[in-house]
Amino acid sequence: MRPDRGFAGPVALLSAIAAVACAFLCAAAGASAQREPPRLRAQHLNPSAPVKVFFPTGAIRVQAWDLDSIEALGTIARGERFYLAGDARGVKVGVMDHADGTPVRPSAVLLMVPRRSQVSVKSVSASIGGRDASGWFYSVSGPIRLTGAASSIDVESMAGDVALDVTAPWVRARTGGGRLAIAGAPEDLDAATVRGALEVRRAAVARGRFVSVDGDITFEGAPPAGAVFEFSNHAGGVALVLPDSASALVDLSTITGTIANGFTQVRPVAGQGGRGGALHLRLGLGAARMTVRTFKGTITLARQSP
Amino acid sequence: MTHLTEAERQDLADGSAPAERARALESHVAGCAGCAADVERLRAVVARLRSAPEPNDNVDTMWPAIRDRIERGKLASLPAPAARRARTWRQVWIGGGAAAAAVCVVLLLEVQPHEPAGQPPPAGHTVPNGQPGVQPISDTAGESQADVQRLLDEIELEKAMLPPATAAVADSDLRVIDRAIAELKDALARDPNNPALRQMLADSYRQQQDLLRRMHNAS
Repeated sequence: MRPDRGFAGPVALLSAIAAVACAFLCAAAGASAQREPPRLRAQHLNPSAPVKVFFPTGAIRVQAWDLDSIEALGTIARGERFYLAGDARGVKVGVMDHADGTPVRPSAVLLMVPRRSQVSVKSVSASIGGRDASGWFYSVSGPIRLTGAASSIDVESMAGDVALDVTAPWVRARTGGGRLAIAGAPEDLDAATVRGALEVRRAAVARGRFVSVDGDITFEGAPPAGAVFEFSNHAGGVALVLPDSASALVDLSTITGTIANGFTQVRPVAGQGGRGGALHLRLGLGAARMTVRTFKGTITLARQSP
Repeated sequence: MTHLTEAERQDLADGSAPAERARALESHVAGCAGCAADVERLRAVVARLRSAPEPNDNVDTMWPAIRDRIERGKLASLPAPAARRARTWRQVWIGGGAAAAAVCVVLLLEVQPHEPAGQPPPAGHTVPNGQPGVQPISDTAGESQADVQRLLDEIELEKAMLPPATAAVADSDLRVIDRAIAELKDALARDPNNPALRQMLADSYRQQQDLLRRMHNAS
């Protein structure tokens, strides 16, 4: 991945702060935590009420629970204003931005929300964490990491890393220069980066669309029977790392790039003028379908290590 | 007077009523101008139907012609790629708008991987219009254009509020996408019917649209 010119300095600093904050929050969320972080606010909330969160810097973690209430735990940086406004039908939570544009000091908050809540979390450089939380998660440069089971996930970042290990019927994930890593069981997955690497490893995806412009795409694992995957890249590479037992119809084509088949002895057919190439393979019974297209990126088909 | 039911009139018109029943119905029609007119109209329809040629019920023989017409109607030329130059923010947005407008004329096609094993098509192969292997996947050009234009209008006003670092990142991403779009359009100019190129171009436009949305959220 190319260096991120605009965020390199601030991100390093904020990542360090976020790491400390995350460690704090993880400890706070642990069942065995002995010192619970201070309770900032709590109130009744309908089970499916929307929760809108704005958290500019620091670390925000959203965790679903089976109670009909919302609770905010954590510490707010000195001089910053925390708010939790609304009623049982919906709330807004977060740390106030500064009207004069001066930087907001990083805070750390753990937010417990009803399991069926649809959350909407927006951050600037804050790291966002989520467990069993459904909804929309957005950061400008902060990392986003979501785990657990959700009804739907929509993640967007301008330049932050995104890591998903979720079970959900519908997942959409976007980042620009950040790394996008996907695991778990996102049934219907739409993932894209501009320059960042896109990695799908051992994920149980039924329908997947993986797109990048300049970032490398890696898919590792066995495609489930009936799965339909589409990979599209312009200049980045696409690597399919499949087990020997993989069962799929695989269609690979590149306009001016190359295809490296490390799975079978079949060689790709060269394209017009000897540029590019195409390769059609049937692996096993051909139970899944994988289509890969690149403009000039290299396509690699490789065997997964046992 | 009780008139004939719709079923009775139709049975009488198409001759499907049993003889004895038909005689009773005819006697009613003889004394009822309303029913007589309707039965006469139905008989005319039945006669036209029976005189029409048998429909060709073989879809396989009809489909290629239909598909030819559909595909001919979809093809459109793409604008020539613009010269590369250093651009200001404003030009980036305008360029994005122009690119979005091009979505209107891009066909979103994909290759159906039905080629027999061992005989893959060459990379970037041209599939003639209407030939098997081409499948329309979506045509939301109008929506996309309106959506992108709305985003551009809003971002034009809001971009002054963007942090410089955010603007730099977005600028870099936009340049990457613009470069990809330019290369794809060049390739399409040489091979205008290549469905893989069209699909990738559509993906790039979609990326651009997504990026503009994220920009909007950042501001």
